Amino acid sequence: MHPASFISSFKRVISVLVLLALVISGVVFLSRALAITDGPEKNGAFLQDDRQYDVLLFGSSHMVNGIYPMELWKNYGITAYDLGGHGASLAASYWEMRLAVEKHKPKVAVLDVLFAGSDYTEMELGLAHELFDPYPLSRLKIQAVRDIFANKGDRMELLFPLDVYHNRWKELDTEMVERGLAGCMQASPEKGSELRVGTVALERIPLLPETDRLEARTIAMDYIEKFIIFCQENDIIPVLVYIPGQISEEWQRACNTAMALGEALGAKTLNQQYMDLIDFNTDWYDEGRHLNPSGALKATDSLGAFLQDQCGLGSHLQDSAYSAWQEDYRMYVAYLTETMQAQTDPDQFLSLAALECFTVEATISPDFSDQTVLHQLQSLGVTPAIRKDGPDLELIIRDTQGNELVHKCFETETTLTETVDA
Amino acid sequence: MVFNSYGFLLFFPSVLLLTRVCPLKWRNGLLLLASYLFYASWGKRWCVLLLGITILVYVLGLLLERKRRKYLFLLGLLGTLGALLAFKYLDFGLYSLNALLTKLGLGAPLPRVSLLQPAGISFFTFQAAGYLIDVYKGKYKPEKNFLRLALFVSFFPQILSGPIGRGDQLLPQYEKPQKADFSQLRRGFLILTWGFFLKLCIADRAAILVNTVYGSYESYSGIFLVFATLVYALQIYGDFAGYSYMAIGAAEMLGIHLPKNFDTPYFAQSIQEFWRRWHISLSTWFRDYVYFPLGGSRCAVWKKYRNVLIVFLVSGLWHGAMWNFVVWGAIHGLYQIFGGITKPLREKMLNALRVDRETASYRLFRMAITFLLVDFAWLFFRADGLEAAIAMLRVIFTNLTPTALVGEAFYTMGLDRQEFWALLLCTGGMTLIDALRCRGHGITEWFGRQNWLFRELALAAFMLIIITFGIWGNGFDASSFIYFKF
Repeated sequence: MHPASFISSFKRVISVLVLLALVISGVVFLSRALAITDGPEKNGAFLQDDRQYDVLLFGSSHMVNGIYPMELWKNYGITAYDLGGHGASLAASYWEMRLAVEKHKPKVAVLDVLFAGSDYTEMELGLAHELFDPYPLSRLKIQAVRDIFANKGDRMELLFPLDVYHNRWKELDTEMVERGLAGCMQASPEKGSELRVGTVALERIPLLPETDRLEARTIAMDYIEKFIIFCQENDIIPVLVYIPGQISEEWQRACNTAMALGEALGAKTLNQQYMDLIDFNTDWYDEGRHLNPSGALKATDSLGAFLQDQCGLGSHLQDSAYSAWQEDYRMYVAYLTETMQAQTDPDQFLSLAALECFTVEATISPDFSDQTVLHQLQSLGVTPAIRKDGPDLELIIRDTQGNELVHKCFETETTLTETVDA
Repeated sequence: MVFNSYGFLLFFPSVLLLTRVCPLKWRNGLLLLASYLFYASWGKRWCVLLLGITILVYVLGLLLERKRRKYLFLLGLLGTLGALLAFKYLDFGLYSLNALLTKLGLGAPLPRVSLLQPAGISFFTFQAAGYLIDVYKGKYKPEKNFLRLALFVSFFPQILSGPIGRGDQLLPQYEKPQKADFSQLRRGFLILTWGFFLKLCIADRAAILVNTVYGSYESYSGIFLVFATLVYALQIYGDFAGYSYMAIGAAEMLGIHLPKNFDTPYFAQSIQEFWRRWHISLSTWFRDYVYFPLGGSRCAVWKKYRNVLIVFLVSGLWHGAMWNFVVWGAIHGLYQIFGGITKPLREKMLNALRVDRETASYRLFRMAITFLLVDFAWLFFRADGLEAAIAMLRVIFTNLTPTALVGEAFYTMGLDRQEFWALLLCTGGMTLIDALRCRGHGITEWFGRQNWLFRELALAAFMLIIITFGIWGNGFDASSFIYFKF
């Protein structure tokens, strides 16, 4: 080849490569900057760090709100990450487990069986973004999305989130630009779980006998089976958990069936629904769908004991190789403290105060009759002092060092209303 | 499969790569296969129709070379344009006849037929018919290689919405295939990207505003309808010129040079000039195959005006089997007739007033008047039927309320503040580029002369602007190019 021709060809190749590099960099920047952050903030840290995880938790919002990995660490020395997703179908949970295991292979994989009765693979698209966006594009992700979603547009949107996020240019701000440039975001101090702060007192609905099961097999059951088989083939202990929830009889039958299926396939099962863990006066966040911190602590404690006893997981609390987890726990407590200070209502303060890092002092008037608060105080083991000439309710919440975090007074009108910021 | 789809983003680079790595003699075969695959994505059965028309014009072309018989020629026109008539106009004809008979008190005795219209039928039948007419007239010899003729009829970048090619322009390129060199590839890519910009950043954004206002015109005062109609001028230009640029750019990258279809039409200073700049391949088709055979302008004045009116009525009908399209065509025909009749008077007035016709202000004035006349006709083109168009005109003339369209009112037509400004900025960019092109500054040529690093940076930035500000992705109906339905 003539030298001039060679140089010309070389320049052309370089110019095409430069163009490609510029466009790809731009697309990566836009994808990071314009993406919604819920998923990456919740699960992004799991994909970025080099930790060893004993347990990975999968499933629906019952898992996200019901099991706290940092409490498993504090009380059992077990390292865990909660990868559950709001509204996650069991097909989505199965595929998410496959994707997660490629990054960190755990000793135990726990699956919440809430949606065992569903006869579909799909889930709400927005929630699927939260679940799958943190995972980079790969053959496995393509396989997952193709299996879960039938609509081509939905598939493309999940595989190339810029497809839908590019329209967020209108919201672009400095923080988004920084995120686009840096490519990482704040890690979840809760290791993927999410507190739901508040309390609703409920009437207990009757539970069907555990032997009451569905006659037909659902699509969700197929994915439970796939989950178990994959774990077994990869030396991961599969655990099915039925987290407490006020659910319909049909859903109860489906969960009972799923637990029986799990046992039949050799998975370990933990049926918390029938364990009488939950105090219906103090442990629900909403109409029996999600646990508040008080309830979640009980579910987490039950799971911790199960993992220790049934799966043979030991404590890493004294292991210096896990010292980063102690630092993570301090961050978690700092986050809880901030959350506590951001609350406004007595039931919120008291549902959070169930966490071990807080202590509560309460003073009430002789006429104080708010049953929810009284039940919460009783559940926390707090005996309120009675004072005639004061507000109806005075709450003082301290951290483990005895620092006062909250000092508030409330009067009972139609509801408890804050009167003085003490 | 449309150009702005993930499917095409995979399909086109694959075809391009194959045509570049395979021997040149395979190129026509590969392009033909790709064209039929592309067309099959719109319905496999329509490939049979496409093949049927191709065989018909191929056989008749060869027969006409041997014996120049009129019946063979008419058979060919019946086969090509007959297919168009059957699929596109049969139901419209029956509906209109029924309506007429009902008015005469004879009821509606004719049955309706609802045939699905094959994609791009108006374009490929016109291209095939044009070929047959040229062969019959002896303009060029018929194509003897079936593969080349089949590619001429079905070439995928142009099959759905043109530009409508001519045999003497395209067939020689298929006969002597050439690989696009690097500068052609770059030029084609630039044209393709410009097409994407017009479609995604302007047309589809303008469509949101236009659809909102036209979709519930009863709830808007006249000034909003006027504004939406002005924006529709942007939409249809961005949409159709955008498609044409994509087709021309893609073809250029494959080594095929397609004819220009748009030449800054809104810079035209008369309606006549507008039609020399808008949808050039269709205008010239009508000029060569309808207007000239009718006698063109080399006849009595009244006949010339009759010919003009016929051409525009047919052109209106070509755009859609609805009366509002016919009225749109008639308006353009009448513009030209009125312009012709009043020309001597206008000349006299300008001379008497000593208006300097070379000034920029005079040219701008003429451009503005031409644009407003064209835009007025667009109202009939866009409205959902003739009744809707008349109802909208009634609102405009009886309830204009110009003061209603101030400040925040601009953001009540489906586009929020940022979207509205994005549309304005993109339109500004497009106008600037078109103005430069109108003054003879070829932007692609200028771009090609720049330093390579600047070129790549600018092109990357332009592509990222399209990705960010374009209306695309799941949930957006960006798939429907306006001219597909014609």
